Amino acid sequence: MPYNENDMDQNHQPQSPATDSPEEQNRRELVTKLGKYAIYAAPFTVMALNSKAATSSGPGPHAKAGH
Amino acid sequence: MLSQSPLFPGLVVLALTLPLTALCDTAISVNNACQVSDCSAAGLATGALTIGTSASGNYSFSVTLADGDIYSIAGNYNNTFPGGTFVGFFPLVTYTGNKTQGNVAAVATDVLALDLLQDFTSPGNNVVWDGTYNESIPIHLSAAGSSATGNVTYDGQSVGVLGPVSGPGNFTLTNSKALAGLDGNTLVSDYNITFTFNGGTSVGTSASSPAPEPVQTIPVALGLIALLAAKTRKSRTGARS
Repeated sequence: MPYNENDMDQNHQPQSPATDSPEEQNRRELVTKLGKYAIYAAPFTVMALNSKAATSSGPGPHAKAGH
Repeated sequence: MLSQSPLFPGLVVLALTLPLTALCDTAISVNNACQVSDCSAAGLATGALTIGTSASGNYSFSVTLADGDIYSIAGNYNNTFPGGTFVGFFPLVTYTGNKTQGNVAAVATDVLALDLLQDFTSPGNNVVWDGTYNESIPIHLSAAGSSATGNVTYDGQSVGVLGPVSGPGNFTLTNSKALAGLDGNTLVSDYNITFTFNGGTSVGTSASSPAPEPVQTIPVALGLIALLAAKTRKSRTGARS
């Protein structure tokens, strides 16, 4: 019996993202891009927040020499 | 399911970029009276930052000195421990009037010593915290008759007393110093900024270690938008070719 895509009932509609509307695809792409750029933005945000602060920094912990 | 949501990648990235905030204890005292959280050594040690954690928050309160002069103190702090130690302190102190006389100038010279208290801890044996420590203290004094000093200590060792500077004006005080003998699993930091207001200080006079100004974030935002635009154009050009 030849395949007829019109025979497919609604319960067997493909669920893959390939069926997303253009708007949905655009939204998905935008969220992915924003997420990616959030990584780039984080250090700059911290720098901006700290640029006029009273700050103090130190080297952090390390093992005592000879151990 | 969340993992199928188009928002999922963004949520994961957002979670990864947010600093991990544990149940940490950052405390603030004014003239040795605790105003924020638990200033006791035991409380600070229990809530010490561990590597990979941070503590930030806002505060707003008033203090009434013995002479009745009242000051509002507000701001925020931002302490992180990604590997090295970092303490950020943003206090704004404003004279608001006198308890008994009301809306009058300060009746006498007032000294407000603000201390931001933060412990850091690292497990293991033979831990030391020796090395070069930096301090940078921007000071804004809105009027004459006020002055400020700054000093950061680690386990009681000073990175350097900075100032005094006198108002009005904006100042940036910096220093670096190599500290040694900082042994043990816990490092105790104390960020002190002391403001002095002479008698006769007008209501509304303020002194601060300035908080970030919005205008500073604009160039950063513009840069990020330009970066995003360039990247988008590049990907479109690549798709066509």
